[in-house]
Amino acid sequence: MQLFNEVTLQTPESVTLKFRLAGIGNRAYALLIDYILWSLMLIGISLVWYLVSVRLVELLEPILSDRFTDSLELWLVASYLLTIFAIYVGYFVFFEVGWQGQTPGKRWVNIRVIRDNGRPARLPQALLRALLRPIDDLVFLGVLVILFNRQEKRIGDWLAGTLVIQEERRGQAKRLPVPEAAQALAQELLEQVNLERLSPENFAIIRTYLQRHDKMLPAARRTKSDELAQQLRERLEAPELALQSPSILVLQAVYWAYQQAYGDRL
Amino acid sequence: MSVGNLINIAIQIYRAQFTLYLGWAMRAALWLVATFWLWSLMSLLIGAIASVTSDQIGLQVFLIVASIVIQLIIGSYCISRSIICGATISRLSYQTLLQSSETIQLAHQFVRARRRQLLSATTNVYFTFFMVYIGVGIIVSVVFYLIGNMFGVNFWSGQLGQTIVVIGIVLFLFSIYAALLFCFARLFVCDTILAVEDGVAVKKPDNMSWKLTQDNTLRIIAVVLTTGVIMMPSLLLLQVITHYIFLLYDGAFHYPSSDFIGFWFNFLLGLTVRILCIFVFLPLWKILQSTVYYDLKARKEGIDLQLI
Repeated sequence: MQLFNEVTLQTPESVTLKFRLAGIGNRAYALLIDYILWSLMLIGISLVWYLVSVRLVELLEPILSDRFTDSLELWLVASYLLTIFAIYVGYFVFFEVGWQGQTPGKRWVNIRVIRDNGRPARLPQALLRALLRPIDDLVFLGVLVILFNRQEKRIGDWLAGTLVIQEERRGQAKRLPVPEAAQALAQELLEQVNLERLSPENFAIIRTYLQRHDKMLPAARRTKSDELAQQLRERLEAPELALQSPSILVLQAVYWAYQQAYGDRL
Repeated sequence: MSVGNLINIAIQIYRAQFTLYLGWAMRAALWLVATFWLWSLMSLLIGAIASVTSDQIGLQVFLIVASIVIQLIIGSYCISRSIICGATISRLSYQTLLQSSETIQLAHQFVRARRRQLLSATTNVYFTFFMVYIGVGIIVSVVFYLIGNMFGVNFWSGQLGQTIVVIGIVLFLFSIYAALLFCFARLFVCDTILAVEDGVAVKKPDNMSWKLTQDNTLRIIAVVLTTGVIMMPSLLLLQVITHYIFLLYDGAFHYPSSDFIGFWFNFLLGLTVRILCIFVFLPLWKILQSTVYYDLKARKEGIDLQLI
């Protein structure tokens, strides 16, 4: 069973691009974060608006007649409502244009808006999406629309011709710290075993284990490192490989040796 | 897996075997309906007997005690059957995540054998929530009262007192909500553990859930809140439909809503909506719990890491 929906796009240059769609989960999470930020902005602006308008009415009241004071208050309320609407629409347009299809929420969740042809979303797309947002947000209509179509588009996406995709996480491949004892063992490994037997996927498993190691439950940490070290020996056809050393050291050594030999091949 | 992807996977699994999960959810909902009807029936029966024998005090006391015992037995039996149906969904979806091929019958047999443990785990979780609710409520009230007294605030008069009372109520509600959400996140996979793990590892599912969810509380809270946002449109739609059905009924029969028949119609309609909510959303929650549990097992025990 395919756990994620994907979309394949053909660019005018005949390049095939494959993207994983953001899905309702990521989109709702990003929206939640954006709405929290938006609400905070709104509270801040409302406070400032309140203080400024009260002060303004106080200043102008002695100069203006009652009729003008009443209309001034109406104008202030109208300008406030206009500002709120501008922020509601502008927040998404400003960020999606400035951050190439991302808002703070989308950046946190690692998703991005692109055009149907795979190109980055620009001002017209961002504007259309933002203007149709009130319709999508009306009794959460957008959520239902996303749930019931394969491309996971809301009404704004259909009209603007956009898709929301997941971005590949970068920065995971940074080198992990390896103790000197493991580095010494890695030197021996490079001479003794053929690391070509280890596929990049196998290396990725070892790296993932080492990344998670500190946050794992102590008992599981030991069991898993023993299990992986044993599987590694079988894979490398070296049953006697560093049997006296702790399993975690063996894994760190293999990680280090592989990095030395091939770099990060993923 | 990220917060959003956990929800995506749960929805994808639900979609893939929609009718299967919906079938189990329907059984779970029907067992809850059965609980309600059996309780009502028993109350009527015992009430009828009590009215006939109203002059015998001893018999009346016996009937009250017998009624409580019978209601407890009926309740625990029917609710545990409902829990089993939910646990079957958890187990089946977890097997899907493991790409294992357990039959539906075997999955159901496995969870049925754990009926008592599942019931006691669920009761424990609700009891914990209740205690947290009461405990946090008392602590916040006492602290608030002491601080107010320290600064000589009169809570019952003056604008300052009233403002402080409003702030206090907001803080009180926020503290209770935050504490309950925290506990909910820490005990999120409690019954899933019982539904999927075999052997001795499940003697204390609440402890296990507490350990596994450590360092992941905020992620689970984010999952819960985001799923709430996704579920909201359907809940709203159900509420709107219910409202209009009642208005139609009111219009057609001209019964005011305070009328006896109107009250019962409203009550049964509300009950039907709640059952419908269980019917539609139980599978999503159960699959979500399994997905979160799988993710926690991967993070804390590395179950997804295999070289061969």
